Amino acid sequence: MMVELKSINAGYGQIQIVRDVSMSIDKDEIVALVGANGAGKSTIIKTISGLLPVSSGSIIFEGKRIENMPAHKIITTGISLVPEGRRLFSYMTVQENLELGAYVETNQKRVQENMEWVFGLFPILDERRAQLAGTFSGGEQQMLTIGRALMSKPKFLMMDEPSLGLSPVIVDEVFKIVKVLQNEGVTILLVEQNVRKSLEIANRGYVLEHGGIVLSGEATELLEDENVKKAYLGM
Amino acid sequence: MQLGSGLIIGSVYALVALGLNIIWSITDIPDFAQGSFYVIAAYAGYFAVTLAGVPFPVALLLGMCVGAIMAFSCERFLYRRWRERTFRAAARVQLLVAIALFFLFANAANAIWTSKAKIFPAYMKGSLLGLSYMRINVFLAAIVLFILVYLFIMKTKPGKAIRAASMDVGMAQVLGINIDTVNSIVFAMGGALSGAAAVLVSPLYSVFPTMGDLPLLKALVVVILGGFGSVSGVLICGLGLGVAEAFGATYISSAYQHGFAFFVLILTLLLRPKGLFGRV
Repeated sequence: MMVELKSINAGYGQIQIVRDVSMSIDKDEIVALVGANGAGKSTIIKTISGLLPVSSGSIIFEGKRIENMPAHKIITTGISLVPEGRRLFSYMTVQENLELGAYVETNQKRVQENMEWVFGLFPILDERRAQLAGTFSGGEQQMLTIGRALMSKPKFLMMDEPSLGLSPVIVDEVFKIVKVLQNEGVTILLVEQNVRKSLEIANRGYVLEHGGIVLSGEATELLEDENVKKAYLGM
Repeated sequence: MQLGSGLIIGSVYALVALGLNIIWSITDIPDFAQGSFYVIAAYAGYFAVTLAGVPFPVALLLGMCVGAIMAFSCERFLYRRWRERTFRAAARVQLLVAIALFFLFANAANAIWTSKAKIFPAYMKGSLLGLSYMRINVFLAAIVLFILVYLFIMKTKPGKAIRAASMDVGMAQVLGINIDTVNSIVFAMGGALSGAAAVLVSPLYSVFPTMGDLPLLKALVVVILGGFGSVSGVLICGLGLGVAEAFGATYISSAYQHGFAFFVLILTLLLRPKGLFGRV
């Protein structure tokens, strides 16, 4: 098991949003975490990232407990984040955004290698190195966000709503990339409101409602589940 | 002549404003205490020259170090305590602490060294086009410091981390940037800039406990005028404000000299709420 959440409770200050959530993600898996707006999906991601504290429970990554690690140390363990709303550094160039993605990498040669890898996945970024990130279209910004997250050569990538607000063509492209990354050896936690598409590419899934896990299993099973169909697939 | 003296006093505003701006845009703290670091740094420079007899550049460096250490310590041991707690009043507490520190240090200077102005000995004779070399040096030093800060922020790795943190603190942390370190650097930098401004200007106007009040207020105006996060905006607005004051004092009325800044501020914000160069 690569990542394990053991009955975590977390939220903002006094307000508990995530209640008693346990999850696990195996190496090389894509695990989808689905649920309605406000169910607590992003809270779980922020908690793993160290941006929000756990009030109880533990988070284990590759056998080490990380729930009390400061946010800036999490990336050094091999965890990376594609945040909701992209959160690019708009007044910086594409190249600077990518370099910041490899901020913790001190070996300049490895930074260069990772950048080549990212440019191989997203040739558009190579062509526009000097352009300010804020001037990109939504789809291009999403590619840059994923590229930035890959610059630390993560073992485990968390993607928070990567398809949100993008045109259908770009959405398809994003899901294709998620699949490609799995083949490149990156383990993925995919948080999505697009339940059908994410379960179609995921190995397993968890369904979150009101801060708690209500259902989990193989992605193919979840797609067939009557409750999932009714609540999330509009069937 | 007005242009020259305006540029010089404007350099002082711009230097203090640059530090304030960087601190403000990253930590959300309008660090009023910078006004008192300015005072203490000026005294440090004064005593270094009069008691220890060090050359002026050494006194300048000492003033910068004093400012840097004071600002660094205030952040490390005070402001940081409220940052770590995520309650909503934290920013207001920090603001009050900043104001309290400003009065504390400025009054301490008054208690220790009395309100009597101390004459900072001239370190250089001669003049060019009616401006003494000491005045010209204020302007030149400010330009050099601005270039150094600009290069640091734009070209170095810690500089890029600071810019990233000024745009999105949470994301910067996720990428591995230690916000504690960033805060330490920006506060030390701000303190050093205030200290530099103070020691540079001391030989022209003498040293006294309330000497930091006007530069602090004017620097706040410059930050708001120039817009957050813009190094060049601060330089242009700082110099512009100094020049506007100098001309206003000559051609309108010197009685209103220190009011012009606030008149310009209100006028600008009515027309451009984000400031002249603002991006946030």
